Amino acid sequence: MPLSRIKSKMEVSQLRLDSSAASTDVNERVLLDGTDAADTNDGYAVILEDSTANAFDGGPFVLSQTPISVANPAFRVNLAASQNLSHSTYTKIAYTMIRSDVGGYFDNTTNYRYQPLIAGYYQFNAAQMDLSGIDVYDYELRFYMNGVIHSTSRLRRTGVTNGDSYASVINVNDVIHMNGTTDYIEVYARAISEDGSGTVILYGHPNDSANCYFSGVLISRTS
Amino acid sequence: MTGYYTTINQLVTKIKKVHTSLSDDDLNNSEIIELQNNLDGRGDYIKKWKHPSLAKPTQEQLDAV
Repeated sequence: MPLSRIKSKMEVSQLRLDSSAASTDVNERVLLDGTDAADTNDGYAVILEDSTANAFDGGPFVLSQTPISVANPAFRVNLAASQNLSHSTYTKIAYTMIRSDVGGYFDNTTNYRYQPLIAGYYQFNAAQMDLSGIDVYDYELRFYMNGVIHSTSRLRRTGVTNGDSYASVINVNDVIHMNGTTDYIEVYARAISEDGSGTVILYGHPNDSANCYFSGVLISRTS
Repeated sequence: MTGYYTTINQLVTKIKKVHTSLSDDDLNNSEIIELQNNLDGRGDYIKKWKHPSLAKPTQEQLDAV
């Protein structure tokens, strides 16, 4: 029986479709405005009873499961104090200061990494100023995904003397798919002095994150 | 901890002392040698060593210099 014909009996009861194999409810209509006696030109929703045939499943929308509502993950962290590195050594940047972290997925106390629990494509950005008082001629910023290099940005000048990169800022940006369970992103930096030694200093400040930040946002869910 | 050095530049200085013929170009070429620090409290370590003629320094060599 068309559902519209039994609506008067449903005023105070539930509408339950029979999910048995013999059901004929698939593609029945639920009228959203019961004043239309003609059952036409009215708002309605088509109910697809069989979840395996749901055309929206498999993409960013999953209609065959209980819907969830979460805020879109986004974060921005920065170096709260300058960080010293060894010459020519890739070193993780210790972002301890959280500016924002929707979802709370950034670890700013132990591993200094972003590990979101929602799968999808994320836009990541990092910027870092070199504050070394040595002659840095080669300066690199990297995204590491699960401990392996994923993206890099590099400023390298050859044939120079006293190639000081003091106050120079480099950026690395990328769109990276995260599986929402185990994947994580970290930022590493390396600087090389033409002197062949010396302490590298990365700029950090508790009240100035313009040149020492790591940020990201979910741009497209995949589950 | 074996292979790790927490003092800034301690590892790179030791490597240069062990292999005095190692050029800065090779030391700084991440295709050949990579030094890394994961901020896990252990310090700098040799992550990659693919030098064509110089062997990766042993712990004994690093300890001796």
